[in-house]
Amino acid sequence: MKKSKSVKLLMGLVVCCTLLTGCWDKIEIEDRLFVLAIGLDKAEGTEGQDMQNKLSISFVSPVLAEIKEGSGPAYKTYKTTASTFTMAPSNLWDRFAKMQFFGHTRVMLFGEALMKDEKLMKEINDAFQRSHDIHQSMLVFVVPGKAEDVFKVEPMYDRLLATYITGIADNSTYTAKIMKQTLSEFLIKINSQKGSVIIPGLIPMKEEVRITGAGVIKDYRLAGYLDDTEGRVQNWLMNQAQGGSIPVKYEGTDIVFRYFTFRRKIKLDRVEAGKLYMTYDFETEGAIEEYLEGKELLDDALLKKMEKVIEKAIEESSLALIHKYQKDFKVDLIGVQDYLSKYHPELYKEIKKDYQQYFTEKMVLETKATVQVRRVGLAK
Amino acid sequence: MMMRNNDTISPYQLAMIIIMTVISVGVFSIASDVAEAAGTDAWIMILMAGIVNIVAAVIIVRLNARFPNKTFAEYTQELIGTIPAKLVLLLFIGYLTSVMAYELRAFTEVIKMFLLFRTPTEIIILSLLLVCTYIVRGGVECIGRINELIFPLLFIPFFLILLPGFNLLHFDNLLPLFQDIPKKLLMALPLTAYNFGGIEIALFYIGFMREPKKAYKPLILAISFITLFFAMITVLCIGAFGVNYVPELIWPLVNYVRAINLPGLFIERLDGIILSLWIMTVFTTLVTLYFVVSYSLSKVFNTREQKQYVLPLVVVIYYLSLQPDSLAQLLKWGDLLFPYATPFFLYIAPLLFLVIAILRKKGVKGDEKI
Repeated sequence: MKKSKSVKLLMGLVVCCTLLTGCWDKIEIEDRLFVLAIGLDKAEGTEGQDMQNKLSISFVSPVLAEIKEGSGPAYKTYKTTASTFTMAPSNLWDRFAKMQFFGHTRVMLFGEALMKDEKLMKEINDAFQRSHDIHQSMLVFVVPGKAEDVFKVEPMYDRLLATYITGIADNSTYTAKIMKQTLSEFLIKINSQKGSVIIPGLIPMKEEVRITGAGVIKDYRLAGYLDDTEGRVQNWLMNQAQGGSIPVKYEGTDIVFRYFTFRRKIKLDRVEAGKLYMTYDFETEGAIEEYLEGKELLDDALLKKMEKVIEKAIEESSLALIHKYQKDFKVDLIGVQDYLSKYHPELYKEIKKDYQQYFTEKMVLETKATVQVRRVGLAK
Repeated sequence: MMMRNNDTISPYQLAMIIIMTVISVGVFSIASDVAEAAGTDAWIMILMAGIVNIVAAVIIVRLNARFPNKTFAEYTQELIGTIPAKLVLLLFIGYLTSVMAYELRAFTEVIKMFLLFRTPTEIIILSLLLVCTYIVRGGVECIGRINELIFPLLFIPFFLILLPGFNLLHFDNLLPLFQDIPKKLLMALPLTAYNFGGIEIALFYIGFMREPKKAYKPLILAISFITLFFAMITVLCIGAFGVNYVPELIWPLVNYVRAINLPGLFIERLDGIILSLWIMTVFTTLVTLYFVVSYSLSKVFNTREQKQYVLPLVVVIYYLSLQPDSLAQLLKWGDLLFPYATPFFLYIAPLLFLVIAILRKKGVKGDEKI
């Protein structure tokens, strides 16, 4: 009896020793170096040569002591070169006492030269799609120039660069000029649109950065940029605008229409002689809160006239961008393909094969806006 | 019998057992498989497959209702003779053992990728398998109870985690609907239907109910739940990623959870939570299949107890699960086995035995009403 008890005890001890001693995957939080932003650039070097380290990757990590007490910027940046993205962290391990951790990365920046390299783009996109430690809810931007230049900026009011950038991106709720796109959205689009996608642009300045316009990527290669106003129109065309203001001139006076909703619908009007006639329908409502002292704005007839002017401005600027896509970029990033495949699947099946040709040559796209000025502020 | 034996389950427990068995490693990948075959009509295919499986379930209950308090392992011997029945049973055992090995390995690969990079595969497999062993040795009532217990623990948090992802959804991604339905029914339905593999174990578990006729309702409810759950996951994945991207992913549901952004929340990343919940789905599947295997073995060798087969089975399952070299090979082997084995045990075998039972006038004549 006694013997069996001690045998049991011994077995228990053996089991404890074997099962409870190994925790292979323990990582203390102190051993982690949180990466807040990543910047990807094509490494400089002679073109055409077979370069070993073709990527130059910059990282931003917070300095915890500075966050608590310090006054200056609470982050540090560091750089490495690597042949692929996956190689970069392991290249850092021989320089850093802590492990890079990407779970809280907020911002990812791509340099211009990198985005013009088709092969590199494909490699990197695949790395992000497969990687289990890259979190896909971070925001992506293209930087005209070098991504690492952004990390030299010391923001005026914010002590962390990454939260400063995401803070600006959050303003997309108020102004359609700003585009906001997560890595996940970027990857989904570039994958399902066969290498074509829009990516918001970000420009470094002395003490600030600006989110402005966008890069147009066609066949995994940066094909051009959209400027500020075109970026806004892009948001309209893709039905992503959540608010903003449109400045127009009405009889020599500047007025600003501020809108809080903006809806876009595409309609296929008719198919005639092999050509597709489609209309973009815009619907927006908002307020005008500035005119001229001494003039009454609370006047239905006047507002109707103003609405017409604003409608015209919307229609013209969006038509200009549509033509730019049809003639210059020759790629459909304005949702026509998406619309046809979803709402006219039979028709889409016919034109699917040479869609690009259809888009550039056989589509007549019109725009039509309906503006409603609902409010005029506190004065009559 | 003087003492209440621990060998009965309630109708509610039957429903839980079926739900927890069918929902297993497949929840992560089902959207990808079905979207590849059926495009935007994926969720319609899943609903159709649900109807097909309800029919299959009705056949299974019909068959079992003719032999109250007997499981598939016992009444087949009555129907086609001892030796052929034991051969069929051995086939069934082989099939379920490979399913378990498959699930275990797929589970291990996912866990190793996301959670435990450096923990040896062997430790992950053995620790899960040994917990299963403990429960299976407890008998059928134990299994009924563990499923009953884990069901709310699993699904309530599961739904809660999927909720914050709703702002990722673009419901127009589900358009166009009803494209080439007849063709898809022919091509995609068989593929979708075998994702419901696991219902066939009702052939055994109904035998442990006191009144097998009461099995219609819980089984149909269970399959409806599974169908809606699968359809929901597919709609979420296609809604979030679009029908072109979902087939590119191995586990779209993991991507869905990883794309969720909850700023300011204590836990920013939810993939760890969904994975730990998922461990439970795999665990319950293993337990229910494990019991059927050990029980069938006891019937093949004519022993009274099933307990003694449980521990030796660990070695077999462990060995089998380590056979594939990689995830790619594992999935390839799965594609070779399941499209044939699952429909056989789920649809063909029950129908065949029911026909035999009717022709040979075996068993009590079941109440024809559902």
